[in-house]
Amino acid sequence: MSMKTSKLKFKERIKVQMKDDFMRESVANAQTRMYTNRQIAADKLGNWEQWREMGMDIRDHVLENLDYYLHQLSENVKNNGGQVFFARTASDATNYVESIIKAKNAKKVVKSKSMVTEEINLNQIIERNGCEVIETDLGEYILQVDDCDPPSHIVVPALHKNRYQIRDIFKDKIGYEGSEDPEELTRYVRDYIRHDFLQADIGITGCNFAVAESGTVTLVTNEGNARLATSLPKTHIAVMGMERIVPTFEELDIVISLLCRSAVGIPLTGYVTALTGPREEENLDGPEEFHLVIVDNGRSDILGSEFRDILRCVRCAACVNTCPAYRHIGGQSYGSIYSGPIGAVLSPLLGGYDDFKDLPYACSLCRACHDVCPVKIPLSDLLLKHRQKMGEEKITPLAERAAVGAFNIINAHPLLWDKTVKIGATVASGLIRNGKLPLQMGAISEWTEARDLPQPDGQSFRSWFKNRN
Amino acid sequence: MSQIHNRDSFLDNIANKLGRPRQTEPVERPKLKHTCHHEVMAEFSVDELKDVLVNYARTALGSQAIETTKAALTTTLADVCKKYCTDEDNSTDTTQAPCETIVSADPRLLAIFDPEQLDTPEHIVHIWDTKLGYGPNIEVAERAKVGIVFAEQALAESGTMVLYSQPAQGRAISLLPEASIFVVPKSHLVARLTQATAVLHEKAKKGERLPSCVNFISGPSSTADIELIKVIGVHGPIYATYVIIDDM
Repeated sequence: MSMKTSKLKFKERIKVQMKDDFMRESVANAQTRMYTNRQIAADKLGNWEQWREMGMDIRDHVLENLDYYLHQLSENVKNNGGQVFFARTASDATNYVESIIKAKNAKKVVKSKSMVTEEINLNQIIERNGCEVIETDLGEYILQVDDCDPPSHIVVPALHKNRYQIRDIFKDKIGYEGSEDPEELTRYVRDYIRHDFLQADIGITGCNFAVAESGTVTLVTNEGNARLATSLPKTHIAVMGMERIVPTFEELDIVISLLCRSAVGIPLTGYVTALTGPREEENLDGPEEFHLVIVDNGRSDILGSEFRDILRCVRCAACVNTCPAYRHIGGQSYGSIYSGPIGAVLSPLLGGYDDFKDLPYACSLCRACHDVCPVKIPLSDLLLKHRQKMGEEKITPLAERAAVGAFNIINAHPLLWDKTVKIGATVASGLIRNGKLPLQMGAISEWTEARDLPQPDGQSFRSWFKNRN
Repeated sequence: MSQIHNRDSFLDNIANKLGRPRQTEPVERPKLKHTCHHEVMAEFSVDELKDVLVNYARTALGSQAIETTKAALTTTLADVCKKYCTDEDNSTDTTQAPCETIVSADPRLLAIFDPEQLDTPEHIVHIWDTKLGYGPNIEVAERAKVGIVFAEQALAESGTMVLYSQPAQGRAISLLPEASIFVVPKSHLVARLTQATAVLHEKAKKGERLPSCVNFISGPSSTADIELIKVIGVHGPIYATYVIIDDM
C-alpha cells in the first residue's frame, strides 16, 4: 500500500463511507471510548500540561538539532555492530531493503505494524522478489488478508470492520471455521501464523523512537508480534521516519509516557521493547544482523517549511480520536494511510496537493485536536496554512478564489457592502422557495441537501435596523 | 562492507533545510523544564509500591500476582506451574504429553530456586542452556507451556516487569510459552518508567553497550483490534504471573 489508498475523489469517497452505518457507529463508539480513556489516564497521572510542555520541548529540540542526533544515532548503531542506511526517497529505502532480501535469498518476511513502511509501499517491493510478507499485527493482518483493504485509523487500522465481517474474511481466506467471538478469532490467528515467525528469514519493524545516545530502537506494542519478529529471524530491519528520535533515555521516558496514555489511555502498553543492535555474540536468540533504515521521503522539506511543527508528532492518534470530522466520515474517506487531523496536515505534505488538496478542508477548525495533542501541535493552524498556501498557489478552485476575491473587495468598501447586501437580500427573497434555491450553486446546494435556507424578508439587517418602529 | 550509507549528503540536506551549517559539535541537551515525572509516588515505601503493582496487575492487566519468600519460592513456583499445566480444557486426557516448563539460567534466580524439584514425570523442567545452541532451546521454548524469568526491575505504576536479554536468559523464555512467570525481589520495585530509563541512561553515558533487548512487559500480550474489544493472549503469552519475593 502506498500513501494514497483510493482512486475516488474526496467527495465520492465520503458519499460511500457515509452510507456505511456499521462503520459510522463503530467509529463514533471507538472515539468516545478512546477519548474518555485518554482523558482518565491524563488526569490520573496529574500535571498533564507540564508533561505536554516537556514533550513539545523535547521534540522541538530534536528537530532543531536533527542532523547532530542522527549522526550520533548512526555512530552508535555502527558501534553496536549494526548497519545504517540513510534514504532520501521512498525508492532509496525500498531499494536497500530489496538488496537485503536478494542477498539473503529471503523467502519469508514477518512484519510488525509500521506506518512508514506503508508510506514507502515496501510490501509490494518485497513481494516482487518472490518473497512472502506477512503483516503480523492483528489489525494489519485482517486488512492484508482482506485483499489489502486500506487502514482507517493509524493505531487501530481495522476499526471499520465488525466481528462478523472479520469472521467471513477469515472463513473465505484462511480456512477459519469458528464463531465471530473476538477471542476465538484472535487465537486462530495466533496459531495460524506462529510458524511464520519461526520460519521467517527477516523481521521488519518500524521504530516509535530511536535513542541517539545508545543506538537503540524502541517499539511500543501490545500483541507480542514485534518481539517475535525481532527475536526469531536472523535479520532485523527497522525502518524509521528520520524525525522519530530522542537524545537520551531520559527524554524517552517522557515521550513514551505521553504516547501510551494519549494512544490507548494506559501508563504503558503491553510491550515496550528497546532493541540495541544485533544480539551479542554469546546470546542465542535475537537477530545476527541489524539494519536501520532512516527515511526522509519529504520530511526534510517539511523541516524547512512553515509546517515544521507537524514533525513533533508521535503518532498517538489522540487528534483522530477527538476529531468531529473523522467521527462522521471515518478514516477511509481521507484516502490516505494517515487519517484524521494529523493525516489532513501530513498527507498533502508527504504526498502533494494533487492527491490530497481536499483534506485540509475536512476540518471545522474547532481546535479540539490542539487540546489533546501530547506535543502541542497546532493542527488546525497548520490546516489553515494549507488552505492559505493552496489559495496563493491557485490550487483552490477558480470559482472559490473569485468569490473570496469579490468578498474582499466588497468587504473593504462600506458603501459597496451596503448596496450589495441590500441587493442580495432582495434577490434572495425572490429566489428562495421553501428553503431551497432553484439553481445549484456550489457550496450552497450541498449545504441545503440536509438543511433549509432561512426565509428572507427582502431587506438587509441595516435597513431593518433603521426602519424598526 | 561499509556500515553507514549516504550519511553526509543526507545530513547536509537537513542542515541546509534548517538554514545553518552542519551541527557537529556536541549539542547541549536542555534540562527538562519540570520534575513531575520524578514526583510520581516519590514518597511511597517499597510496600506501598508493591500494593500498587499487585493491584494494577490484577485489575488492569489480567495478571496474577503472588507474594512469597525466598524459602517458599520453589513451592510457589511449583504451584503456579501446576496450575498452568492443569488449566487446559483437555486436562482430563491422560494420554497427552507431559507439561513442560523452561527456566532462565540467570544465576540470581537459580541461587534461590531449585528447578529440579519441579521436575516430575508429568512436568518436565528445562533450563535455558547456551551450550545447546539456538535450535534446541527454541524448540523447547516453543513446546513449553510455561517460561520462568527473573526481572531486573518492576514498575509499580504500570505493572511492568523489566527484562534484560543475556546469555542465561534468552528472549524466547518470556515469549514463546503460553504462560510467563516473572520472579522479582521486592527490593527491585520502583515507581515508574523514569527509574528504569535512568539506569539505561547511566549505562549509555558510561559508554556501555546496552543489552541488545530490554523489554518492559506489562501483563500477557493483548489486542483490541477487533471492535476495540480487549482480548488477552495474541502472539505473545496468554497468561502472566508476577511472583514477588518479600524478603529479598
